[in-house]
Amino acid sequence: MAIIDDVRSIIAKSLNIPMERLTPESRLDELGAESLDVIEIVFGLEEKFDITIPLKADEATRLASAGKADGDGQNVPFSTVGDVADIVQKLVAAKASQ
Amino acid sequence: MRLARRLKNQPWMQKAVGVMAAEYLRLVWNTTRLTLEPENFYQRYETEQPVIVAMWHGQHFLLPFLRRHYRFKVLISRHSDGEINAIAAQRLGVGTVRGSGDHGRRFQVKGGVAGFKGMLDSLAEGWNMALTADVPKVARVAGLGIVKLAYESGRPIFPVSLATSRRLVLDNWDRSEINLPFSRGAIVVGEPIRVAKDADAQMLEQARCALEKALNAASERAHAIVDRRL
Repeated sequence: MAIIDDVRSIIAKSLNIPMERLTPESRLDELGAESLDVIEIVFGLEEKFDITIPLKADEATRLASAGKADGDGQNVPFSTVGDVADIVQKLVAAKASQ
Repeated sequence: MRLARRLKNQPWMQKAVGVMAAEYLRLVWNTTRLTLEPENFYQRYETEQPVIVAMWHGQHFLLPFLRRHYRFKVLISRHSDGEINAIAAQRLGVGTVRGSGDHGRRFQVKGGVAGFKGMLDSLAEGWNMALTADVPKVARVAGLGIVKLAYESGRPIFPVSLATSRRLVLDNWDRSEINLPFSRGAIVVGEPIRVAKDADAQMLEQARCALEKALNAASERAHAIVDRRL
């Protein structure tokens, strides 16, 4: 199963909606996600992929990108299903290259 | 109004107000004759650390003084008022985790996710965490976030209320109580609420209701003590 499908599955389960409704462009807030749902999604992804999603303490709207591990400090948004999949993909790749 | 708002967002102004607020609260605390209920709370609490201390919004201003020599962090919003609170808390020896929950879908704005993770990490490192149980703008209704924090961390929630006989009650959403000096004071601590690791949604909701009830009971009791309505 591709990472995007795992991500869609975890998001669908947390939000209790059919997976088919989720496209890479689907916005989490428009799907009805609240803070606790996003926390559940983050924990679900961390457990599934054995990664740590680095949340920046001073930036509510964004998650630090996987690229931060390489020192570029770039931030990426965490707004859509595609954003989430991108972050997971980068973190999984970074883990594999270690 | 615009000038006041601009001033309020200036770091030097926030620092000045935060320091003044901290010193004012210190004056209140030092001139308050305190009743602690139960009296042996700190002995009991000693063996339970780290714990989650829950309070209602608007009754939390003297919270930093509960810590004694224990390591405490408090959850403070990212709002500009929150910055002032954070400066005051740090001056009074309390660490901070920034963020807050939301009843709507503004998780991206309020930092609830980062705040939640920050609190979990702090508890895992042995810090006690203090936070208000009600989510901003909806007073006296416990949110599920604090219950989820107990569930994820495995740490107990202690419902706490702190009241003073002399106080100003503001006409705002949480009916904030500004504690005044030279008061009788009461700290009432309810029985700890624990959330099982295998709790399902229904059990989490039961814990949320239990916390709400315990906080209301503690608040009623603390006010009855200081207002001599016993």
